[in-house]
Amino acid sequence: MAERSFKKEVEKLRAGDGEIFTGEGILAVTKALLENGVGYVGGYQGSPISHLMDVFGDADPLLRELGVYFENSASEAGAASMLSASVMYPIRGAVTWKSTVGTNVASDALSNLSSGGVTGGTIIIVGEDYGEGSSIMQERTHAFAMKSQLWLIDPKPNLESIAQSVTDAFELSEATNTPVILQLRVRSCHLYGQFIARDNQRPKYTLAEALNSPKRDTGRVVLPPSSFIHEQEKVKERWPKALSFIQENKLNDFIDGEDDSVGIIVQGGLFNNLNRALTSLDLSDHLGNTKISTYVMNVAYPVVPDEVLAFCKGKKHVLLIEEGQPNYLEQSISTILFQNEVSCKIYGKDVLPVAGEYSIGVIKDGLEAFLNKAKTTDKANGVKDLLSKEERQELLKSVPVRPAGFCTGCPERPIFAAMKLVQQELGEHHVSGDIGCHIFSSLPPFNIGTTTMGYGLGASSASAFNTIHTRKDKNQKRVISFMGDGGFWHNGLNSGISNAVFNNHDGVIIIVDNNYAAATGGQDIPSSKFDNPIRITNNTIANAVRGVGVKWLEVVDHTYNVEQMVRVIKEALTTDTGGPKVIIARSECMLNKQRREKKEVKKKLADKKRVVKERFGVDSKVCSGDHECMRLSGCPSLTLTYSSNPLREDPIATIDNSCVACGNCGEVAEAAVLCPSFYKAEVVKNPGTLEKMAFNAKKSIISYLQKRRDRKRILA
Amino acid sequence: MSISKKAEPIKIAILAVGGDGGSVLTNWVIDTAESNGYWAQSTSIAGVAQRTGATVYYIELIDKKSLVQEDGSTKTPVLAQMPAPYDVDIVLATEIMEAGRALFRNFVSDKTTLIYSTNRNLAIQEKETPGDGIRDGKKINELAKKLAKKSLFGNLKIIADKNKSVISASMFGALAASSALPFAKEDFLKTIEKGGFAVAASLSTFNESYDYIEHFEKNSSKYKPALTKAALTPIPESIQNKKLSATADRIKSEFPKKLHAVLYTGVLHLADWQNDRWANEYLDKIKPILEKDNAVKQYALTKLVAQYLATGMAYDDLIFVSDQKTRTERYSEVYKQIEADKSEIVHTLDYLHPGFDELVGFLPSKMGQRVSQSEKWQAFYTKRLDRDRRMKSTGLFNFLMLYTIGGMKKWRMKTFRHFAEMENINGWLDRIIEVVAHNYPLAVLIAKSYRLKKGYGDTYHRGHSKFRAVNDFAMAHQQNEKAEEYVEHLMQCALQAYDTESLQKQIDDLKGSL
Repeated sequence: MAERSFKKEVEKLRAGDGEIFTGEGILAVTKALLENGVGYVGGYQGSPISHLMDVFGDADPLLRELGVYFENSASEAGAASMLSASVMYPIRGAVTWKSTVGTNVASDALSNLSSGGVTGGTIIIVGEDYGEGSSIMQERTHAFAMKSQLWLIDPKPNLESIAQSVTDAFELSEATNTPVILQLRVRSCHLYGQFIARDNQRPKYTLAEALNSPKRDTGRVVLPPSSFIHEQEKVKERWPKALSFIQENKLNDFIDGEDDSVGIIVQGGLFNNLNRALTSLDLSDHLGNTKISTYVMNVAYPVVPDEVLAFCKGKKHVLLIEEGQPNYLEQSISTILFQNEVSCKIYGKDVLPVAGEYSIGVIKDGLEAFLNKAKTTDKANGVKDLLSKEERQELLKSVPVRPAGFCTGCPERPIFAAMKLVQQELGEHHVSGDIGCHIFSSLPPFNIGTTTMGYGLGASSASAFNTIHTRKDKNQKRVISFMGDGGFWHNGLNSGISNAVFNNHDGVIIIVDNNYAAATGGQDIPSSKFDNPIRITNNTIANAVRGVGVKWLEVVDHTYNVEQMVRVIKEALTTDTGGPKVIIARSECMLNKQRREKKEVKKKLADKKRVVKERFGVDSKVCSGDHECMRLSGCPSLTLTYSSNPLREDPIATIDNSCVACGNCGEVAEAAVLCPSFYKAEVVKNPGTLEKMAFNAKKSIISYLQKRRDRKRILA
Repeated sequence: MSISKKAEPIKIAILAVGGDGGSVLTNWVIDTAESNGYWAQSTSIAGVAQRTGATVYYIELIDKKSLVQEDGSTKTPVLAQMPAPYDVDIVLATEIMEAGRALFRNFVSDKTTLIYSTNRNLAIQEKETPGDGIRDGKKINELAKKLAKKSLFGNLKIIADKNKSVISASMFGALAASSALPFAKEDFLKTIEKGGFAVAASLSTFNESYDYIEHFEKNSSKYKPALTKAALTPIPESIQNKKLSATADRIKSEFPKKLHAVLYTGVLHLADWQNDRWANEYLDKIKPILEKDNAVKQYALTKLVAQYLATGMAYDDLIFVSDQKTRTERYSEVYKQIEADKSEIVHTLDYLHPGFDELVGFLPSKMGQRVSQSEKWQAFYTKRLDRDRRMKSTGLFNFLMLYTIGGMKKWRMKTFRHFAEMENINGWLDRIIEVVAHNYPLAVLIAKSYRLKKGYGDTYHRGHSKFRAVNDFAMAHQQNEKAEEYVEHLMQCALQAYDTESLQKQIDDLKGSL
C-alpha cells in the first residue's frame, strides 16, 4: 500500500478524444502511454518517479481492461531486462526508474538491449534526480545515452509537450530499432498542468500472441560475431535513421528572433527557465515568443548536425544552455561547427556555472554575461542583492537548517537511539550505511553511519572489514552495517547477506524491516506484512536469511523496546560465534501504520465503540531543561518550550499534538536513565458504565487527598 | 507577437515544513484560480516536507483570456517551475524561519506580499543545544518589513489549532484577506466547501484568520516571538497567606527594589518546594552577597545568585518528583497537554528509573554517605534495583505511594542528598564572596555557572562535573587578568556541548597556554 493513493486520479486516465486532462506530470505520462498502445510496463520506484509506479499499481483494473501488463520489477536491472520482450516482437514497452542511480543498476541490461536493438517501441522513463531536492550524487543520464547509443528526449516542461514526447519516443524507437530514454526532471514529474487527451489504445500486438508464435534471430543475440555487426549497425543504420526522423518530424523547435547575429541553444527541459529569464530582461513573453532566435533541443541525443549548422550559420554568437557536467553538447556542437568551418562563437560553461542546477536566476546571470560579451546590450549586471552582507550573515545565523530526519513515531528512531547507547558503552564503531530512510541516521541528532555505496549495498560495503582473522584480540571491534528491507530485496540478500555467509564475514548486519519500501513512498515488497490484491506478500526476510545460511540471527519484533535493541546489538558485537551476525529489526513504518489505523479508529468512534487514544507528555515542572532526550530522539513532536518558572532559563521539553505514542521518548528516558519527566497518557473514549464508575470512585479519593495537601501549601 | 501586460502570470511560493498541509494549500489556490478562469500550474518536490525538512511549493496563475489565439484555441503558456529571485508576487511561509529562508533566497522583494506565521517548529539544531538554542525571529521580522511590499504576519498556527484544523486553512484565509489575488472571499470559501474534507473546521479557521489579517494594519500588529520566557512575579499589593505576606514584607524592607521581583519569585518557588522557613533561609543566604554588591552595578550579582540559589535550594529529588506527579495541577496539566476533556477517563503511565544516587540520596545523611561509597551497595543496586519502574501513576496504589513520598518534606532535610546539595551551595556562595572582593565580573560568572547543574541521573552527574570544572578553573586562576574571558569561554563551551570531555579539553588547552 503506497504512501499516496491515486485511486481517484486514475479515473482521469479514462479520458477520451478532446477531453481536457488535468493532473501531475507522471499521470500525464501514464495517460500518454495508454494512448499509444503500450503493451507492458515495469520499473522500480524512487523519487521523482515513485508516483509513476504508484499510479500504475492503482490503475491495475484499467490496465487489465486494456490488456496491458504491469509489474513491480525487483530492481532497475530487472526492469531494463523486461524490455527484451520488444526485441523480437512489435510490442510497445515502457519502464521507469530514478536516475542516474537506477540507470547505473540497469546499465548491463541496457547495453545488451541497445546492442541488439528492438522491434517494438521501447521507452525508458527516467526521473532525473538533479538539483534542488535531489537525494543522490549529481551526474547526468546523458552519458549512458551516448555510450550505449540510446536516444535521449528531454521535453519542454509542460504536460502537452511531455505527453507528445511519449508518442514521439515510441515512433522514434520503432523507426530506428533503438530504445529511447525519456528524461523527466524532478519538477516536471510533480508538475500540475493540463493537455488535451486522446482515446486509449489496446496494444496492437500482445504478449500472449508473442508466446504462441515465438520468434528468434541469432543476429539479435549479443555474441560474436553479431556484437561486432551491432556496433556497425548502430552507426551506419540506426543513427542516420534517427537524424532524419528527428528532422522530418520536427522534434526540435526553432524560434525566430529579431536579431540574426545571436542565438541560444537550450535543452528542452530548461526552456521554461530560459524563457522566464528572457522575459525578465524583456526579451520574451509568457507564450514563449523569444526575441532572440532559439533552438530548443527536445532531443538531447543524438545531436542533429544539419540542424545545428542551419541554426548557427550566419550567427556570430550562440549561447548554449546545457545543465550539468561534463558538457557533452558543447563538445559535440563545437566539433560540428569546427569541422564544417562555421565561424560562430559558442558560449556555454564560460558564462554559466560549470556545475550545478540552472535555475532561473543562474540562467539570467549567464544570459546577461553572454549579451554583454556579444555586445548586443549594455545592460548592467542583474539586480543587486537586496540584503547587505551583514544582513545576509545575520540571517544565516538566525535561520536554522532543517536536515531531513525520521518522521514522528518512526520505528527506526529507537534502533539508532539504541545504537547510540551501545556506542556510549562499547565505544564508537565503524558503521556502513545503506540507501533508505535509515540513512537519516547519519545526520543530527544520531550522527551514525560513515558511508553509503548504493541501494542494498550496506553489508557489501562493510566486507573489507572482515575481522575473521583478527578477532583473537578481544579488543578488536567489529564492523556494523545497515540495510533496509527495500535494499535487501533489491540485491542485498545476494550481494550482502549470502556473500557474507560465503566469506565467513564476522561483522554485524542490521536489517531494518519496516514492511515497505518506505523511503520511496511506502510501496509493497516481498516481505510486506499486509495483503496486496495484486501481489504475493508475507515472504519473510528471516526465512530468506536462514535460507542462504545465516546461523546467528535475532529478530526484534518491536523496535521501540530500546532495552531489547541495546541488548541484542551488544550481544551481536561481543559474541564469539563466527560468521555474519544478522539482526532483523522489524516494526511497521509509522506513516503507513497511521494511515491504516486512523481509519479504523475513526470508524470505531463513529460506532460509539470503546477506543483508547494514547499520547506522550512531559511534566513541565519535572523537566530540568537539559535536552538530553533530544540527542536520542530528534522526533518532530518532541520539542521545546520555555518553562512557566522564570527561574529556569533553559527551555524545557514538551510534546506537541502530532505525537503518535510510539513510546521512543519514554523508552529512551528509561534505558538511558535520563529523567522521570515522560509519561504516556491513555484517554478512554466511549468507556463502559462500570469503567466510568470505577474511575470516578478512584478520582474522588485522589482529589480528596490532593485537596488535603493543597490546603497546606503556601501559594500566592 | 504583441506582449500585453495582462499576460503576466501571478507567481506564488509556499514555503512549508512537513505536516503543514502545503500541498492542500496549493490545491486550494489552484482550484480557486481555475474556477475564476485562470490557467494554473504548480510544482513541488514530493516527500521532502513529510520527512521533516522544509520545502517550497510553487504556483503560477495566468488569465486564460490572454492565452486565446486568433483561431479560438488556447495556447499552452510557458510558465516557470521554480520561484525566481526578485520575481515572486506572493510568498506564504507557514513558519517564521521559512520566511527567513525566503528572504535569504531573495524571493521577497518590493513586489511581494509576504504572509507568514510566527509560530515555531524548532529545528533539531535548536533542540539539541544544552543551553538555550531557540531563535527568536526578530531579525527576520525586521528584514521582512524592510524588503516586502507588504509584510503580514501573526501566529496563524494558533488559529488553526484553536479550530482543530491545520495551518493550511489559516494561511488560505490570510491569503484571501491580503487581497493579493484577484478573487473574491466567496471564491476561496467555495473552494474549501468543494473539497469536502473537514469543511467546518477549515471554514472557521479560514474566517478567523481572514478577520485577523483584514484588520492587521489597523491593529498595527507588533511582532511577538511565539516562544517567550516567563516573567518574574512582582510582589502583589496584598497577599492572603500570612506567612508569605510576612516574607514579602521582609524582602521589601531588607532588599533594594530592583531585586524584589526575583526574590519574591524565588521565595514562592521555595515555599512551595519546602516551606516558609526554607524561603526565609534563602533570603538569609543572599544577604551576605548583597552586602558585597552595589547599586552602581545594578545588583547584577545578587540578582543572578537569587535566581540560581532558588533553583539550587529546590533540587529535584524523589520527594519533589513524587509530589509533582501527584499534584492537582499535574492532573490538569496532563488533561491540557493531551487535549482531553475534563469528563474523560485518562490514565498516565510514568517512565521512571531512579538511579543509585537518587536512592542513596534518600537515606539519612551519614548512612547515605557510607552507602554511596560502598562498592557492595553499588553492586547490589545494579543487580537488584537498577531497572525501569514504569508505573501507572493514576492507579490508586501507585498514587498512594507517590503521594506518601511526596509528603516527606520533613525527612528531606535529614537526607544525604540535602546534605550534599547544601555543602555544594555553601561552597559556591563562599567562592562568590571570595572573588567579588577583587573581581566582580568573575564573581558574576561563577554565579552563572550554576546554570550548568541540571537534570537527573547521568545528566545530573555530567552537569555537576561541568559546574565543578568551571568553578575550579575560575578559583585557580582568579588572579589572572584574563580569567574572566577564559571562564566566559568555558561557560559557552559547556552550554554548547553536552559531554564533559570537550569542556575538559578546552580547560586543558587553556591551562597549556597559561
